[in-house]
Parts: sequence; C-alpha cells; structure tokens
Amino acid sequence: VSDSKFSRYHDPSAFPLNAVETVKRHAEWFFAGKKFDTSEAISLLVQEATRGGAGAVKIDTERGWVSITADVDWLEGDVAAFFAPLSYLAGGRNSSRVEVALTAFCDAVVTATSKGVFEVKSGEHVTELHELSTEGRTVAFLPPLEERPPSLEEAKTAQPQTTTLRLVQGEGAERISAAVASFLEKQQSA
Amino acid sequence: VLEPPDLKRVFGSERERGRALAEFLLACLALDDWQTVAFSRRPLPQDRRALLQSAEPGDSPELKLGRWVALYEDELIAVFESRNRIEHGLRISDGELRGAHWLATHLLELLQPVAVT
Repeated sequence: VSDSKFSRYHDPSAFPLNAVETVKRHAEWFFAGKKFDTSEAISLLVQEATRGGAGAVKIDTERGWVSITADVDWLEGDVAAFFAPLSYLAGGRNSSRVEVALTAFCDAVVTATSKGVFEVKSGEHVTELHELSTEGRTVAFLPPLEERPPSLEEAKTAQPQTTTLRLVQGEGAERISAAVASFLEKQQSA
Repeated sequence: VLEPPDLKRVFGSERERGRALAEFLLACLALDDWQTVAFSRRPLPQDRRALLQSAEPGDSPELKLGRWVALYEDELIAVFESRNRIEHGLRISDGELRGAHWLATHLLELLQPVAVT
C-alpha cells in the first residue's frame, strides 16, 4: 500500500496513538535527567497523593519493588492515569499524573485499593510481590534494573520465598473460589 | 468424592503455570463450543450427540445439555470471566488460575468423558 494515497494511515509512527509508547520517547516530560529516576517518580507520586488529600503516605522498598501507600485513593478509583498522561485539578495547569511514566519505564506495575489488585503491567516478577491490601491506594512498581536503589542489590539476588509471597487479584480469585464451592455443593447433592 | 483444588498453592515454576494456562484456555474453547451449541436451538450435531449418549433412559442429549447449561450457569460465567481477563493481557493470580482450570476441566468432564490435555 506504499503508493496508495492512504499509505500514511498504515504507518504507525505517523500517528502516535499509543500514549504509553509516546511517553517512552519523552522521559523528559517527567524526569529532569531525561531518563526514568526512581527518586523523582516517588516524589511525584507522593506529591500526587498529598494533593489528592492523603494525610499519611508510606514508602516501602523490598525485593527491588517500590511501593507507595496512602490513606486515600488519590486516583478516585480510576486507573486511566496508568495508560495516558492525564492532568489533575490539584496539580494545576499543565500538570500530569506520573503513573503513566511507571507503565512506560518500569518492569512491572501493580496497584491496589480496598476493592482489589489491578495489575497494570505484567511481568514474571509480579508473583514475588507481597499481598497488597489498603484502605486508600497502593502503587507498587519494579523500576528498570539499572534504576533499582543500590541498597536493594542484595534483594536482587535473593531467592523469592514463594511460600510467603503471592499476588491476589481481588474479585477474580474470590469469584472463582465461590464458583468452585458452588460446583462442589451441586455435585454432592446430585 | 471430588477433591477441591488448593487455591492457596502457588505454581512451582512458570513452566507449570504455563501448562495450566494452556490447558485452561483449551478447556474454555471446548466449553464455549458446548455453550454455543446449547444456545443455538438447532438439532445437536451427530458427533456431539454421540458424546452425550450416556444420558439416563428417558433423557435425551438435548435435555442433558440444556440442564448442564442451566445448572452450571454461574460457574461458566466465572470461568469465562477469568478467561477474558487473561485474553485482555492481565496476569491472574495463581489461585484464580488453579481454580478456573480445575472448574473448566470438571465442567467439561460432565459432558465429555475425555480428559483435556
């Protein structure tokens, strides 16, 4: 179709419709050093959470993962910010939530509220993550390998203790568990 | 007595998980086919009729299939929801996959005695 007058519609680079791919090419939109920076990402997330009304924000680093937990859900139940640069009122004019940068640059991203866990970006590492549960919101991300804090070098080589670590996908797991119980009940009464 | 799956047990390796995932998706294809046939209101194809011949005297393959769809409607919905999450690129938990795989296999075994591999 290269000689067609419509050929430009077949060139994916002509129309950057994929917001995450676009952010990947523009790290400078979020990070002063023009590349993903874990500390800056944490600071932007904390800023978002506090501007969103959080009274307490907790930062944890474990096994290479960084998690930020706030006592309120600063995204108000909407995970769209993980998939496109979205501005927010409290951030002011030209603001952008930083969650999309996590999706673009990190190896894995998971978020959780009291309603369950939502896996934003999959990776084999996700099963190494602690169970997440929070009354507000938790955002956990696995920075790219070169960006993981030096203090976590030891954790990088540690063997995952799969007996104590497990990802829980909230409603899906509960729904299947209930369906299995219902099936067994029907079989017993048959 | 049917043993329930241990939904708290994680898969030992990605390979084991991958196998369960493949078997689950394969079972879902078969379940989807059965459900389509059940809802089609057309006479059962001969090959499917043969699979349902173990129906009790006085029962018919059509009745057996209709009963299966009605009785296990909630379980089928739960299985297809898990399948949909997978098809949308979400990584479901080990417990959900283990449960969904177990459920899909047993739902299928009620209709066709051949194990899904």
